Amino acid sequence: MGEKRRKRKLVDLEEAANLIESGSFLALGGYLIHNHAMALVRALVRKNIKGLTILPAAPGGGVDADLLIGAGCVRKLICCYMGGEWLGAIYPNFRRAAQENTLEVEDWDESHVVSALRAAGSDLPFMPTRAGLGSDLIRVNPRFKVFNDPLEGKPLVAVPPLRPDVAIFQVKRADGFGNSVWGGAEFLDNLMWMAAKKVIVCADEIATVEQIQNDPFRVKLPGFAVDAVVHVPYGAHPCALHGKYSFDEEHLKKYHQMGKKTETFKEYLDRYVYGPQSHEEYLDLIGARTLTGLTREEGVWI
Amino acid sequence: MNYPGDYTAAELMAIVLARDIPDDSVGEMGAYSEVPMAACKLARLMHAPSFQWICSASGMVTPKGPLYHSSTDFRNSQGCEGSYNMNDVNIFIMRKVDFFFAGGIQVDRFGNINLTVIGDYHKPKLRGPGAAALPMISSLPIKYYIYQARHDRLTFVEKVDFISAPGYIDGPEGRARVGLPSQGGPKLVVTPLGVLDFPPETCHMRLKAVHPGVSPEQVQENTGFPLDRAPQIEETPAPTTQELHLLHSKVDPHGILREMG
Repeated sequence: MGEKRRKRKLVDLEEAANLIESGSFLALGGYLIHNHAMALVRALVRKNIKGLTILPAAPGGGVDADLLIGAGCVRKLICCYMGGEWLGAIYPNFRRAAQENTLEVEDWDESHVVSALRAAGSDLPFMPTRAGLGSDLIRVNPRFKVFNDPLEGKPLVAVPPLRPDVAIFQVKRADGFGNSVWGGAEFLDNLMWMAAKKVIVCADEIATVEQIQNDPFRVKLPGFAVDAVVHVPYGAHPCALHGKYSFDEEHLKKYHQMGKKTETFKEYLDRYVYGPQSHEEYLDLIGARTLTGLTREEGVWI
Repeated sequence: MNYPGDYTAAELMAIVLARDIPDDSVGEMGAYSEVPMAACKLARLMHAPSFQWICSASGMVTPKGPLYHSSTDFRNSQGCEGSYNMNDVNIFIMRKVDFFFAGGIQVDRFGNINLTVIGDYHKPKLRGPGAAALPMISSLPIKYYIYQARHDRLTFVEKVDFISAPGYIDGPEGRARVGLPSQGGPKLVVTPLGVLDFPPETCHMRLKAVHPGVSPEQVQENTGFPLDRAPQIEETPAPTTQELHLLHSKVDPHGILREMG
């Protein structure tokens, strides 16, 4: 009976967005076009958040990071990769902002981000690695220090910790206490929540704690590490949510196309971000035919 | 490309890479990797049934479904043998993986790769996607393949504008001088025109083989620095009927490589 008195963490999308302040350091779960908390990202743009430092998942940021950059919410990007694979070789708003010097970009290697989150999660001042030796990443970034290993005397790179103020995730299933289940690849999400000060989980499905207890080994994020849970069906659209639905390829192609110019990207934002006043209105705009089409491929989504 | 046969550059590069993949080894690729994924699938169906591979940041092991564009597509879970998060995969790469597939917006004579910027770092003419995991891959005591969708003077340059991933840096002593294991570095470069390697005496990129219908002069014309030449430049054996059949029927039934050209 104790579970009835236990504090639930369910909030709505706008309340979750209000847990993230302008100027904060935000980690974005997922990878490229998979598992991003896109509905929460759109809510952040709508509340006119500014001056963020963002850390997209290593090794690759995606449409979530690019949307925040294109909407003018980001001061600094810490990143290893902003490529769009076959949809577009380089994310368009990222590329334009970097070339026009309106965005500070700090280039890291994938394993540097892994090391930095491990350092933060372990409360250590740095993690040593060989990655980056001989590369210009180390030359242009004074935050990385090359030092000689005190035991063997050979050169190593000291990677400083990254401690995000908030990390946000889109997961397949969570209960009201925050226990969260991934439906496919975890990517770098586990190290992100271990390093972050605050964790917000958006879930396509809200389960009871009893349902979670029936399959406890699938829980990859314990409720005690979660600050807020939001119920957001299709919250990753236009990205895929592993184990639930595929990405919306047509929409993503349109995103890359409209992102190429400031004017056309403004049209994108007006139509898909500022136009709908809620996530439900956004889903109405995308339409049932499109959304149900994302699970059509035989034998994969069951 | 006009090869004397019915196959595209992407298909030919996948076949050339597949032939080089050793049985009983473990490979991995990053994002944007249709050609390496096809090569891995084809190698397993041909001479390397025990070869295993890790599907980029998804950590999925040896998917057996059809080829998809994205290496982290959930649909790769068809026939995969497990999935590991990035923390695990980062440790695997250092301890259990034998080779990797890399590529860049520029590659130079010593196999250094640039994925970061063209022009000045702080005022880039072209901002590239970023180094991804290549600084780490190139810091390991393992070899990697460089595959390039284009072979031209904009891509193959005398000196890269930015070293995202050091290859042999500036010669045989380059890696050891900065503290990198000398066993590492690029093994082969595979392009739509041919195959290039790095003989250990010079670590200069050297023309090893030309693809069917391509001349050594054509490769040189499309390279922005003087290429060394192997004593006997080979011609890549044309794709066999069996290779093309497996590619079209089993590896890539949706025709993604064909569509890439």
